Parts: sequence; structure tokens; C-alpha cells
Amino acid sequence: MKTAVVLTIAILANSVGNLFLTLGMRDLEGAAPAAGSWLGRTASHVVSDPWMIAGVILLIVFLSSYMMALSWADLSFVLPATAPAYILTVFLAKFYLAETITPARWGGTILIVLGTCLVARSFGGSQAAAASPARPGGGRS
Amino acid sequence: MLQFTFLAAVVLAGAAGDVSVSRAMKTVGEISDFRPLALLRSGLRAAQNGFLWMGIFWKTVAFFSFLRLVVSAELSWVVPATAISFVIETVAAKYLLHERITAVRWAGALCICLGVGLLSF
Repeated sequence: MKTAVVLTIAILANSVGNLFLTLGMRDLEGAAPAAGSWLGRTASHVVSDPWMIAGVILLIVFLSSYMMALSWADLSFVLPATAPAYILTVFLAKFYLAETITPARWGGTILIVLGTCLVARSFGGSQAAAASPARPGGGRS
Repeated sequence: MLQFTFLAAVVLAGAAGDVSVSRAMKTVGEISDFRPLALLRSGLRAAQNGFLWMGIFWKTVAFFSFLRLVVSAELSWVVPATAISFVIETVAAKYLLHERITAVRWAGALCICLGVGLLSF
């Protein structure tokens, strides 16, 4: 239950955070060109644009939930468990960024989620096999 | 072409960050006390771990590469395309770590490859 709640928060924060960051970057590109390098302008935009600030806060929420989950679950479980974020992000891009999602792109996204689940299943098997002995260092790292 | 260069930066730097942060958090141990002071104490303990800072560095590289990518590509392409990291991890596990990769995992990697290919149409 604890894992489900933390990973749901991670998925929502990641998808909405990506949307906000995209909206913020479009503000930067739409504005008049300013002096300085792209990196400098972007770094300054990250701390001044409301979309970027909200996006960064959500990414911090995502990273915190993710790190919390990693403290008790393996990376090989946590990574694929966030796969629904791909579909949620495509939905958000369609409705809030007015992106055209072709049937091929929907198909590609669904295949990616399916593939991620298959990869996760193979990790599940190897985790079950390695569940009894202690895992020095833990995870795949 | 530029899009694929930045996609590679997002994926590779992101993977390096994931592995570093994972290693740091395994050292810190499970977080079971969610009171602010206990969380702060866990945060301070994590901050003393070099792998956490390495992870933050790689995550920063991935973050700015991602920002550059969403300027020139659609978000609905960028986010699913980053799943290519699972394929890279599978190939790296097979050829660099000499792990035994199950047929299910190869099938998953193939699905992801096909999916990423379809995204561009």
C-alpha cells in the first residue's frame, strides 16, 4: 500500500511536472532573445518563470517519492512501475499542449508500456530467485 | 539528428543518475519514519554520501538536456522515447555485465524498440 501511494504520487508529479516544464520552455522560446548563452538564459528562466518553478517543485516531489521508494524497493522494480506515466504524459500533451497524437504514436506508446511491463516481469523473476539471501549493496547498482 | 543527440544525453545521464542515487539510498537504508525531523536526519545522512552528489550531477545534465529537447520536439514524443533506456540497460547487462537475459526481457526490449520507432510516424 505504502509503495502504491508513493509511486502514484511519483507518476502524477513526473507527468504534470514535464507538462509544466514544457509550457515554461515555450515561454522562453517565445520571448525576445536575451544576451548570454542558452544555458545561462535557461538557468535564469528556471528560477523566474512560474511554470518552470512549479515544474521544478513537482520534479522535487517526484524525486523525493522516487528516492523514498528506492530506500525499500529495488531500482529494477521502481523504474518499470512508473511506466503508466508515459500514457498520462501523452494525454496531457494532447489536451494541454494541443499536440496531434497520431494512431502510430498511440500504438508506439502502448507498445512501450507493454515492453516496460515485460522487462519488469523478468526483473520480478530474478528478484524472487534472489529474495532469500541478503543483498549486499542492494539493487542493480 | 539534434533531437536524437539530446535524447541520448537525457537517457544516458538519467541512467547514470538513477544508478548513483539508488546506490546512495541503499547505503542510507529504508526510510520508515516520515516525521519532518526524521526525514531531515535521513536527508543529512544521504548528503554525506558521494554517490548522491554524483547522482544529482547526472540528473542535472539530464534535466537541461530534457529542457533543450522539449523546445525542438513534442512532449508526447520526448517522454515515451526516453524508454529506450530499458533497451540500452538490457544490451549493457548482456554484453558488459555478461548477465543472462531472459527471453521475456528480450521481448520487452523489442517491444520498446518498435514502440519508439512508431512514435516518429
